[in-house]
Amino acid sequence: MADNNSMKKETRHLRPLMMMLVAIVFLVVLMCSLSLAIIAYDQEGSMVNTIKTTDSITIMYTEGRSGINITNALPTKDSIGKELSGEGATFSFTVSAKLKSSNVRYEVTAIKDSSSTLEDDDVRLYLEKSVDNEIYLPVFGPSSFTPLKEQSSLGSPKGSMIIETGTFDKTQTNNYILRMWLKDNYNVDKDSKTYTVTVNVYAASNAS
Amino acid sequence: MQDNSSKQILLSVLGVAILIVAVVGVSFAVFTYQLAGQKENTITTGTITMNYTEGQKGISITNAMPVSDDVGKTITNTAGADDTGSDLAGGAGHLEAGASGVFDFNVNATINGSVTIKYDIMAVKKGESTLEDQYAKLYLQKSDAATMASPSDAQVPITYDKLSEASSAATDAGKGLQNAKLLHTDTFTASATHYYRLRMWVDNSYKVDKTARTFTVTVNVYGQAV
Repeated sequence: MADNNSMKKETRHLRPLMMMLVAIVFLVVLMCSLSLAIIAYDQEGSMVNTIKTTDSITIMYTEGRSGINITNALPTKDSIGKELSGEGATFSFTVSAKLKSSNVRYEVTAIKDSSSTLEDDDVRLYLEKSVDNEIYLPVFGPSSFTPLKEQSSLGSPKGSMIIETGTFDKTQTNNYILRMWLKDNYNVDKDSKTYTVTVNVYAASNAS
Repeated sequence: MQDNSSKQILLSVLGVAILIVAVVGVSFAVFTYQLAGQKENTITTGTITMNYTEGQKGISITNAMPVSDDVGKTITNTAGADDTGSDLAGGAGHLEAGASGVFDFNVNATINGSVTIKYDIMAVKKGESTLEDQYAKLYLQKSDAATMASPSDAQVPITYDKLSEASSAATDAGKGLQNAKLLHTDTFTASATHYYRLRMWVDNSYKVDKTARTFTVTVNVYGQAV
């Protein structure tokens, strides 16, 4: 009987220790699982920007063959600028997501090159969007370049300009066409000036 | 003693549980992405240079008498071979030595880009003019050659009062000009130089009296891309 009591006492001491051990093992396994959720950032070539997380999220930003390259630009009315077409007159790109169960918020941001000599107010930017690559609708502008006063929550840097925001909740590709022209009241003079922007995409997902 | 032991175990388990929750909570944190573009999108402005160049001398005619348009259109820019001045043909007046009976100027545009430039040539009467507007005749010719070869009439002989008002100008600046009249409007669609010659005389309707009167204008040019 004394032995039984002694054994019971030992068992009682061991049980909590066992529970702690199980909890710790569980914690270690959980942390190992999380550490395997690797975020890989791959930039393949010069035209396709891909980020792969786990198999549940893929974000892609694909640029068209050429950007806008307008020389001898002269003051242009918005009604004409919005209809610019042809090689070098527009910049096409896509933002796409492949999702299983997550949402992805994204921003399309124009980054002004420091070599630009035109004022922000002298240029007009205009963005159209299509989900079927056929019917395009305006989503931004025409507007002058208005820089952000501080970095956005998604990471668009201070000094850049957000020209589109969106959310992916399913696998989808959004097609965009960017146009840029010289404002119609710009006083052309003897000095040639330039304005250059590149386009970045900033995104964020809630991954579980 | 048993109670203390239980409490300790309970606290330990609680601590581990909190840690698990914290780690699980972290696993729901936002993953962010930055996708940087490579293509540059650039616009480069065209350039426009416009120059208005006056000849070395303006019109300076003295003792001008009323003359017909046929006479006025022949006023020359020479002061005579003996440098003592000369009388203009038909009694249009007298040129002192070195004076000119015509005013030559040119308007030049250098354009990079596809654009049309309109420009206005405005005659601005000086305030000290004493001859009435209806007696001052102006005549403007245009040529593509600096020698004024084969000129065309940019403005046929017309008295100053009958010139179009500045509000008829093609450019915003010309329209807003005070005390000015529109002599001529023209355009550039490519780099070029337009040469002009202005003549002035007293209209033959003027009745000469004992008072000498003057009429003075300056020429302004305003351009605007359209």
